[in-house]
Amino acid sequence: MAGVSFPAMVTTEHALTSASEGVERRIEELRRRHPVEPAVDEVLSTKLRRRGHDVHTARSVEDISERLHAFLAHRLDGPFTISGLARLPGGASKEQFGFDLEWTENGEPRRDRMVLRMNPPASVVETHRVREFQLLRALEGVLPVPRAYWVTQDHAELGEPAMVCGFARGVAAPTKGEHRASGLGTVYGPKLRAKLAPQFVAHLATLHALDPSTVALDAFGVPAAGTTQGVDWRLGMWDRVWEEDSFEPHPTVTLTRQWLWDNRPPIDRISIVHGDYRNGNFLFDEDTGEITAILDWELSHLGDRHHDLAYAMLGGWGHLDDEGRFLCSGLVDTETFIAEYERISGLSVDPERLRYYTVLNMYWVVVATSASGIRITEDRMTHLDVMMNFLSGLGASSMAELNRVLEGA
Amino acid sequence: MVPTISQQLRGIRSAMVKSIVPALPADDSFVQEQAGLVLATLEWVLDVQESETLYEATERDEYRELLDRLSALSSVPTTDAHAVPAPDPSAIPDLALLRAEARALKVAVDARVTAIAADGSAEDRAAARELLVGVAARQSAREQAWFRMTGFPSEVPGDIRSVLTGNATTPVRDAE
Repeated sequence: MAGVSFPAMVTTEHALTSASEGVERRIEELRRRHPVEPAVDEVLSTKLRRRGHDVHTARSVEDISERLHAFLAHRLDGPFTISGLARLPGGASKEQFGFDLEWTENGEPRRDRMVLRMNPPASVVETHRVREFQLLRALEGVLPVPRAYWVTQDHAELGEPAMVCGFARGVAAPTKGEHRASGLGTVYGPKLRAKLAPQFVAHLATLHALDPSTVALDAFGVPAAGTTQGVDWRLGMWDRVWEEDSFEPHPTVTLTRQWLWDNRPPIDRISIVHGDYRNGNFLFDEDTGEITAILDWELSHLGDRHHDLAYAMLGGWGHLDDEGRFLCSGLVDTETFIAEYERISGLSVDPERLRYYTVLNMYWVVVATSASGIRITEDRMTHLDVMMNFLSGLGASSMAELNRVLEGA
Repeated sequence: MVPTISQQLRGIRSAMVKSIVPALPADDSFVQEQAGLVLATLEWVLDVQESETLYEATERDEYRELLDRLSALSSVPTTDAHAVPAPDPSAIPDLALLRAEARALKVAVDARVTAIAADGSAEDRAAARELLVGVAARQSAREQAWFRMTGFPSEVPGDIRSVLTGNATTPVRDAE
């Protein structure tokens, strides 16, 4: 038997080595054609290396609890207990678990509700937990964000890269309103709007006015101001992801990519860009109307403020008010949004760059929902198999919008 | 042939609604969310699945025509990467075959467009773009109808069958 199995094993190992070499050659080729930030390259390359090998399996709460205990034991000096660990709903990217932690911080006994935010084997957007962690740390006390406690990019600790942050109170959408996926198109109603809209604008203005060089963000590439470098990195990233994840070419994507590369605007001032700033991605206190936490920072990067502005203004997030005015992210009309943003931040808003980033934002939505989401479902690498296919409807809708925007361009 | 795929899907939906979803733990909001998405997806699949073959055949024919027209733009020579053999007329119609043909044609079209954009004359570049814009508009109209049950498309010209057979209430138009 040994004589039979040994050559077979050699053949298998050879095939695996060849496959691995093939993946590495492909990664090198992708790197050459689509330059991106080092941390972005790291997560995209890891995705390709895991493809075909790793699938998502539903892990038991006991398993998560055991690993979480070991993870925290390496980071906490005193005794601690974990209780109430349970999977959280919502979101379209990462696996999230809530738990209570009794522990001691600076000699003071504490009991805090925490969130374990963990990568599945693959996500609709591949992002780096350390970047998200650094940004939350940098913005503590500047904006309402969850407190970031601990992070690991090492798969060995919790099974996947993960972050622990404080549980933020509040709701993403009015509890008596229509429920839609991730708060897409959330309708707040006039009373809540009046309270939420000024904060929504002010927080974005504060974020963009902050000088990134004054905070610790060494996991981020810093593009040169006055150049298109920051745009090139974002385009490079989404082009690479489309190439890695799409199943077939699409004429709208071909036309969009061409237009985006032909029309890249230099970035006049480098800002911290949230990357997914819209209704549904912040929590608020339903009684007071206070925004309690801005969430989902995983797509944050250093770049052009118009990226966030155009995104918050996308048609898919908003709706018309009673007077027929379009409300950006269901909160504020465009004219007021821009005027208040400029007043608070002291930064100008350029309509041409808004148009450019409208296209770029729709492009990444298309890449994520028409390519990556379907790919990771096909590869069984996500915990959201059905949702990922369902979200491809958003990609189709964005394709149609891109056709309209680019018509005659 | 019975039960048809649609009949089976309706049976699955009924069992989900009557027996499975009510038995799920009320306090497990993640599971409740997934069950809701499964039901919504069943509604979507029921809306479109009988038109999948017609959809792929339409795309195959449209991309075959597009590739022929792009090949006629003569400032860039065609290569093997820009060609897809015509289907065997004796082949038995099959959804997987149609899909493979349509996909191969899309790949060839993309290669041809890329080559013309890089090395073609200004006239050919403009002509190729115009052809691509037209196909993008028609494809988008099909997709809006195909994905209508997801709730995302904002301007749905009709159900997918009516769009594919040219009987949509809102005519599918080429880009101007």
